[in-house]
Amino acid sequence: MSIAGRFAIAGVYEHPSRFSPDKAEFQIMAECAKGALDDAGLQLSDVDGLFAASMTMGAMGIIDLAEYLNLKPNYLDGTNIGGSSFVAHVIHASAAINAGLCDVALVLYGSTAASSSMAIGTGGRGGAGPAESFISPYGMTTVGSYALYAQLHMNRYGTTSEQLAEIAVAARYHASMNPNAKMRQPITVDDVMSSRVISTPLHLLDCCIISDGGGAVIVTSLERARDLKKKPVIVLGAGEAAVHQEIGSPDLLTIAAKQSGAKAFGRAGLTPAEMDFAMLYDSFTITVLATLENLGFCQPGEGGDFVSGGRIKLGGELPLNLDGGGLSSNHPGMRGIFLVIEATKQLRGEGDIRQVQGARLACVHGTGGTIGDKHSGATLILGVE
Amino acid sequence: MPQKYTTVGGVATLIHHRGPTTLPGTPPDTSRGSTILCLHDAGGNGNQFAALMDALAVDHSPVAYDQPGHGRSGGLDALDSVDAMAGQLHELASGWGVAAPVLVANGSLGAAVALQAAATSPGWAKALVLVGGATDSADIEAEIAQLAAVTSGKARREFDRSGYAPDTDRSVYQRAFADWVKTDPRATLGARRAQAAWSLATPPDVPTLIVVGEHEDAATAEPAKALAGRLPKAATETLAGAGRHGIVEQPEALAAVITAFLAANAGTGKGEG
Repeated sequence: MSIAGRFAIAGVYEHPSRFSPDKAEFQIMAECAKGALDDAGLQLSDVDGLFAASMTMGAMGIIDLAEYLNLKPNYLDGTNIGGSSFVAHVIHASAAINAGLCDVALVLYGSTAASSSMAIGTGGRGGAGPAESFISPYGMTTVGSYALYAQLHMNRYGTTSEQLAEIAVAARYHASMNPNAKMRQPITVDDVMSSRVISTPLHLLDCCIISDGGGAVIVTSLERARDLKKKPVIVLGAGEAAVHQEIGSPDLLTIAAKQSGAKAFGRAGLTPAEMDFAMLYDSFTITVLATLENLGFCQPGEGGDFVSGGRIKLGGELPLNLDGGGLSSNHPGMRGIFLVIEATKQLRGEGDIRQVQGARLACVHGTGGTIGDKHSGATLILGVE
Repeated sequence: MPQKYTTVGGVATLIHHRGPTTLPGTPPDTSRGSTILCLHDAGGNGNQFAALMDALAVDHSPVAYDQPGHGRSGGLDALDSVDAMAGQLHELASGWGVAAPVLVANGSLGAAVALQAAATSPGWAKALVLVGGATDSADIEAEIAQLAAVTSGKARREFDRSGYAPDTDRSVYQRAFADWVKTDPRATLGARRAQAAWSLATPPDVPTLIVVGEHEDAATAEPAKALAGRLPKAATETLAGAGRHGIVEQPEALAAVITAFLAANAGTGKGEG
């Protein structure tokens, strides 16, 4: 039985801090759990499904987290497919509730990436995949891989750095309306272009920030969500996908969003053109452009024009990343959960001065790993009654 | 070094101290000699005083802390005025019941906070020791411009190796770098802007020692000496073998200077409360 339209997000909470050297990862998660449960009008004792991943939780970390929270859930899911994990967790939670394995799912993330001085984009890739021995010795970094993607896009379609900069400018514009955002001072295309180059053609302001932070999401059945405090935000469609190196022969510009987005829109019976806004993982500006094209908001090669002219700003045709995104608000290593949280707030009409007026449908897409290389994608189509 | 967090002004503030560790919510033990509160410079943190605190702890109770946005304290930004920084110091000290501290300040911002704190509460601080640059930073506007370039992504962040004595050991630079890198430059920028907007309205009537490094540049040494002339109870002393960074270059010698000064001027010899 399809999960479409039968499960809902009933509570969300985003940790307001962007630098918390006094807190541990689990402590941030616990504070977020309390916030989301309060938001939903539920108690910790109502939770019987636990979903979490983090930068440091090992294979058994979900058990440690359950102990920290003093939870004995009936269902555990520690899936870690990178930054998209929490978008996927919402899908997995819906499926688990659908199967009768749990009733109230708590999705958690917490990180001290900034105060722990993690070099996320520029550090060595590490990893243990079979291809790493052919890549890592040459010094490939995460930002380097995204930069290669951008170079190929520019070469094939004539996309410009100024067009990529438009994405950073829009994110900062939205962050300027978010009191918790780490970077709130508005910027211009020139500011992005004159910031130092990190990996050609990506400038510093094309790259996400690094922060501490965390978030929590409560998923339950739509029926139960209707009895709780807040307006249910319904999972209308969902999809997941993975892209890998395919023995060195992939089309590098095709990312996981193409597969997961087609599934999600298909299951929802909706099209990209019907979305009121979108929350798209923005590890780098090029990530957003690639995602827009692969989800079908525009055709391949049209992303540069699509993001220009104010279309992706509040008031534009498709506002993106209303919280300021990873480029300006927060990026504690993995930020998929914040895509879900901001989409939920917007659909409830809780966006404050950055509210998309009349928003009823949203596309959420998380990217995990590295585009141009192996990565995951998870797409949600969310809506309200 | 024992450390603990306490909340000051809503910000998780990291405290560095000596003596036994204490339970959360319990102040550090400050029963030995004078309570010496160490105030760091813009971009600095309390850990810079580690070696100095080790030496001072023989006779006194040294405590350092990281300002908001600095080191390992919470917050993204520095407090927006020297007055606010002095207020934070008062709040932190009063929360522990510290009544008559000695303030040891590093760098131009540390000095500004110490003087402001002493001036706004006459009789509160029983002595001041200002090390490394006093209050006037000749290059503050240039430093602000450089920090603004860094925080806007237009310039790289670079560790400043100036102001050290010749032949400074590599390990001193390594320790200084390790502490410098802990603070986001936007906090340093905010702190310097706060300092640039500040001036000393009322010189505090409190025994003050201004320590100038033997090898300190005239650009900071001369304003430091000039400051001594504007304070009613100030003296200067030269720290042998040091440049502008006496707290990390010559911590033991500096501790001896401070201990002697306190014994002579603040009624706080060895073991006296």
